[in-house]
Amino acid sequence: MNVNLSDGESNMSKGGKPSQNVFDIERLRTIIELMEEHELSEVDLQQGDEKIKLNRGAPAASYAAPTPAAPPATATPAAPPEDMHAGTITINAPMVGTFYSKATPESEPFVKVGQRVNQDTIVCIVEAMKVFNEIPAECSGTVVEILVNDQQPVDFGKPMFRIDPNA
Amino acid sequence: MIQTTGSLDPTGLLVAEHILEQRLCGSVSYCEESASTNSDALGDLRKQAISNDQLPRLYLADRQTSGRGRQGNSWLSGADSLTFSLTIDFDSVREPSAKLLSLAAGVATARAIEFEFAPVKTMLKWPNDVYLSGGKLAGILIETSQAFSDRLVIGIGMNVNDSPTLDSYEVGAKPNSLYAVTGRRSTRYSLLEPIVASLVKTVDQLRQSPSIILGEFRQRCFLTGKQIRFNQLGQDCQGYCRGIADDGELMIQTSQGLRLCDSGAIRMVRVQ
Repeated sequence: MNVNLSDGESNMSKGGKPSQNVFDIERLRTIIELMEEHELSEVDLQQGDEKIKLNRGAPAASYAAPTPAAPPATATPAAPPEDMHAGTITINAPMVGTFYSKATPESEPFVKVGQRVNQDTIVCIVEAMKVFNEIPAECSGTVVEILVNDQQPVDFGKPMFRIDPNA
Repeated sequence: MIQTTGSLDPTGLLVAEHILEQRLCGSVSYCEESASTNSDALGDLRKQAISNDQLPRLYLADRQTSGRGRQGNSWLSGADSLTFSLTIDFDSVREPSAKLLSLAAGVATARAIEFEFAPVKTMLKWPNDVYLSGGKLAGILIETSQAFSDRLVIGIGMNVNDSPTLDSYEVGAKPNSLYAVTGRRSTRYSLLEPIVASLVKTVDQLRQSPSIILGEFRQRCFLTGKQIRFNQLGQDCQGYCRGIADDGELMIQTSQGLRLCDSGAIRMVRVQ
């Protein structure tokens, strides 16, 4: 059985801190048991801004559908795209605005891929109606991906950085 | 409570003390020279929480050496200009009227100037540059951080008796000073208290009746009804400014249709 924990949608900015309840291991264990009991392959849990997806990645299960479906010609990897981001979290835009990766056009970016950040590390500025808002990481880990270009518009909740908390 | 650093302008000190006596502000930090009063205010907020009884907190400098504008633009202060920042209690994400705060800061400054220098009429260039007789009189920079989301810093720079000499300036944004337009000399600090009082009152009014602030901005809007040029995502565009939307965005009629623009989405807005 394959269980993926992904909270890729989690809002790591103010007000969206990971909730204890969602990550409670006993609760997850119960859900996994229920998934097995009812042969469910996938469960999405969402609480506030937090989201967890549980996959029972059964490779060619024995109870496969009786009418054999031809596999697609271009076989895609078994892992869904979310798997690539398993265990990562994102820092999301707390408001609609314009994303700035650096304080001025000439300065170095606030953070780069591969850089470690902590709760207080400023990762970007989001401008909304000429109010410039510094965004702290509010999590610890390593920047694995920057998802927005400098001076691009962002919507509320738009993931801006992908962080690996374990790297 | 006033904290001072260096040898200060006695007039500035008297005004700062009066602002405290009048309870317009809860505390003042006043120094002879500062790189940027906005940076001072943000620096304090990063170091420690500023309690409500210290707010609004005024940051004043007789001389500002590296005043900042949008995204690294410099605010060049003439020798006799007024530069200060005000830390207030305002959540730029959760306040319902947050999108109008920039406009409100411009309206507050315009109101104070018009009262003190009646009968002059100011104009506001969206979102909040203050114009007088076609020249830029004051610039406003508002900054905050989600690390202290219930605090926000409004920085204002104003040309009082002179304006900076610039090598070049964007068309339509030439600097102007109060003295150049009104012929009245005033000490720069004579304007400080009226503007601080106006800011405090206007932000309060924004929370209660945002439509009043919006209406006052629209009355003074420099761009409405004019053909304008602007830069959007690196491209030069033009259109006709239809006015200010209810959420503070600029409405521009272009050949592709009506665009609603946030301040970050368009740059170098100028009248053709």
